[in-house]
Amino acid sequence: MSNTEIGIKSYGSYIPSLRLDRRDIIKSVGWANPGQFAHGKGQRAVCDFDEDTITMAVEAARRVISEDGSTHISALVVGSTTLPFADRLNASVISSALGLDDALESFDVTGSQRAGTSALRLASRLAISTSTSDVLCVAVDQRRGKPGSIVELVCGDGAAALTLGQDDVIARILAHQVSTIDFVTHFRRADQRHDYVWEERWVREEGYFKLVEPVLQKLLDEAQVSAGDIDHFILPCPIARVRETISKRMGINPEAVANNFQKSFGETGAAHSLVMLCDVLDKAKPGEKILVTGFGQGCETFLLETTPLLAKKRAKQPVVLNSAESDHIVPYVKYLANNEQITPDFGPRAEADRQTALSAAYRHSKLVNRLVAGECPTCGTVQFPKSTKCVSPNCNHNGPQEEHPLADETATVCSITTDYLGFSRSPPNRYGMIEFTSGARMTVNFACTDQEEPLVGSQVQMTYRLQDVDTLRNYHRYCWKAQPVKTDT
Amino acid sequence: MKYGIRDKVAIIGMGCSKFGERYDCDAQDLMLEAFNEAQQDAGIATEDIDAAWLGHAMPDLGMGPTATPASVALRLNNIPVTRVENACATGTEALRGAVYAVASGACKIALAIGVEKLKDTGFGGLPEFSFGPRAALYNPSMSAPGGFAQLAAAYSAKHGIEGSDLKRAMAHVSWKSHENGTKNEKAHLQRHITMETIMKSPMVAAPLGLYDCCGVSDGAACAIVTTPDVAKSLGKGGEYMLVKALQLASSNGVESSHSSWDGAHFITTRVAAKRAYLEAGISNPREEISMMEVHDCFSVTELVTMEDLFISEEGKAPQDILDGFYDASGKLPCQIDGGLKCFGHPIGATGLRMAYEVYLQLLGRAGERQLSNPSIGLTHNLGGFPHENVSGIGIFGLPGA
Repeated sequence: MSNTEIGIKSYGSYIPSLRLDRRDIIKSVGWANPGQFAHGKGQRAVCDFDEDTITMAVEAARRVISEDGSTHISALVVGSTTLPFADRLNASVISSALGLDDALESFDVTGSQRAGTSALRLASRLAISTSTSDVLCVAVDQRRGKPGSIVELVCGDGAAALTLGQDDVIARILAHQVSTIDFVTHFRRADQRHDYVWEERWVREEGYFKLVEPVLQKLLDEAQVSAGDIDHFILPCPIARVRETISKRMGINPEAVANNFQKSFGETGAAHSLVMLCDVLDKAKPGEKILVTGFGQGCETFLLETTPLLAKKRAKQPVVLNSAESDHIVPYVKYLANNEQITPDFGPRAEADRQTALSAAYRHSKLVNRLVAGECPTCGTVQFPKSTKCVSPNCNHNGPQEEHPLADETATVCSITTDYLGFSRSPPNRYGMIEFTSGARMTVNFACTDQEEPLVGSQVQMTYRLQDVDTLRNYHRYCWKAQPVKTDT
Repeated sequence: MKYGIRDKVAIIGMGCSKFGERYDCDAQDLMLEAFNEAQQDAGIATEDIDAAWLGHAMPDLGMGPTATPASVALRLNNIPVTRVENACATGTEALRGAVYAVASGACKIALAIGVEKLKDTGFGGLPEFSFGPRAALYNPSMSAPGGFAQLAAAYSAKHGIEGSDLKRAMAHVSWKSHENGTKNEKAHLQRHITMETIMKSPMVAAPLGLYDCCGVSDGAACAIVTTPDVAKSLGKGGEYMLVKALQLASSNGVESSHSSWDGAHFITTRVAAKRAYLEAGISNPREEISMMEVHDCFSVTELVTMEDLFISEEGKAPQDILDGFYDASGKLPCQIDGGLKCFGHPIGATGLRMAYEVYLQLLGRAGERQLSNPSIGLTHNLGGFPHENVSGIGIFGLPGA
């Protein structure tokens, strides 16, 4: 271990509110493979039609950055197996939505279900090299299986974010161990959409039971910590009794086995180790030891110890908030359409060309990705979009305006409609004019159009979403949408 | 008023095609239908026309760019022909070009013609408008009804009026235009519709139902203009109408980007109306105007426009509407020809179609729907969305009015 103490400084998670009822999957396609009936219980989290790994990563990261607003982020590591772009740095899309500095080290870590813990490993090593800034680590996944498959049934969509640094940590990283073994539980070739999965019993016996324990034991031995001293044991595994068996064999207290939320929102793929960690940090006491483990082409594990600072820096939205049975349900067929697994007739309006001018997108990157408005240096009017001639009547300022990002500001609804005519990938479309706290006006899309229409005068906040999909060229772009301010926290 | 065009230009001939789903026609055919009527009415030869303005808003669906297709279709005499476009206010823009040409003395007789061929899309409603690569990055993909529907929520909030009460007043707007449309054989929609049918029609963009929306139509309309002196020399007697005012106002970004706009009225319409009343010498529009043709693309647009034209007091339009003030039998009939709602809305033609109805009414040629002795008529033609638009207002009168 290095002498420099590295640890987690803040943490947060994002689980989409939308749920798919597993009974609905079984009812619709379970006949095709009766062996899956046993998995038809509970709910799983799913992205709305305008969410993906990038938007979830942004939402999770916003929760840790807003906690730590003053901190400078010098590196971003994103771990996932389902990032949308194979050649375009996904971390750079996330970084521009978060407004991070251009002088950023950034990485997409991918290729395995342990991409989340690998991202944490890389982030912690990057944090060693800087004492004046923090490293942002995001793990996110949106795994898709064939209709009715095990992957579709047990997985859920979600993201977790951590910042790492050297001071004021809420959990220290005490030790790390890893193995790399080409053990193939499932695979997905680069040009494929769905995983191919091998028999569960083999995965359990030859994989989890033989590959996890040696790595954990080595970690404990080197850290000189006994298994009985572990307060929280994190190992994402949807296969029944695997975690209990490993903990029993190693002498880890059965109560230490962390909640994996299988019934409520599902296994969030490469993000799940860190999502479970967020849940542990929501309730852990100071001085507790946490074992965080990821499994995939070997095993990777960290030993953490919480500090007294944790109690002051808990996430505002605990993971457990997502565990109640939800009534925000997407019907299974709609879910299939949202994921392009069926292609309903969207009508002739869907045929309009939705090409993105990449040159214009780059020119207006700040405007789009941070909703940067202009603030008039003469009269102070904040206006969107930013211009060089002030919009305020009688001001007459003609010159540069200060940048004023609106993405994190709340706003009030001025006018709104729910539109059944215009094209949307999930009709109806909903949009309206909003006024931000700073006075800036904007006509925006609203997210969550399956929910009741917000009233004029109600409060909204911005959420980063898919704005448009160009099916002709397989490109898509993002922007911010308005959604009602959540009052349940 | 030192500058202006009041009484400087006379409309001596007008024509209008049958509006509707003209699956039998190209835009060129529709233009010719309107032009033949206007030319016969004016009693002039094609060689007498010195310049022409074409209003054509959606060339991709119609005849393509430039004004040349109009020059070709009408076999004009190699005169200057200019295509203008200002969204749904395009027709008024074409008329303005021709009227200004005559008023300036640049030519003796000018032609304004507007046309739109919308029913070759294969789907209902208007196609989406593109606002260029920047706006596409962050703007919602808004439909026309969606853009205008927002007026309703903002109007309800501003005036503390229940959505259901506003919806009833909006329904009366459409009901009245359907009643009027039954007496217009050129109208796209000529059926009586009950209030209940309107109120219960399927939602298009909340709270606008199907019957809150105007027709999407093919059609053309046309005007031949000259000076009052030339009109007299052509032996027109009193058979022409004078342009009292023609005013346009465009948004400057205040609605979309400044917090002073309430979302429940049209800044541009108020500005253009004030200028037009001043130009025409009208001080009390509610009393002095005999009839109006306004831009009722959606029922709620007509409702707020009654206030923006300073006819109804602010917040009182729903009451005036429900009282029948704007009905055919009311004090100030509005959309006596059925309006965009029932006559139809071929975009480039609409502003000229409005002037056509004023022309017919003032000259006593409106047949079954003829009003008793109208002397001043107003047209209001709007292009764009409530948060960014152009509003065109015309005031027309009989000689001596």
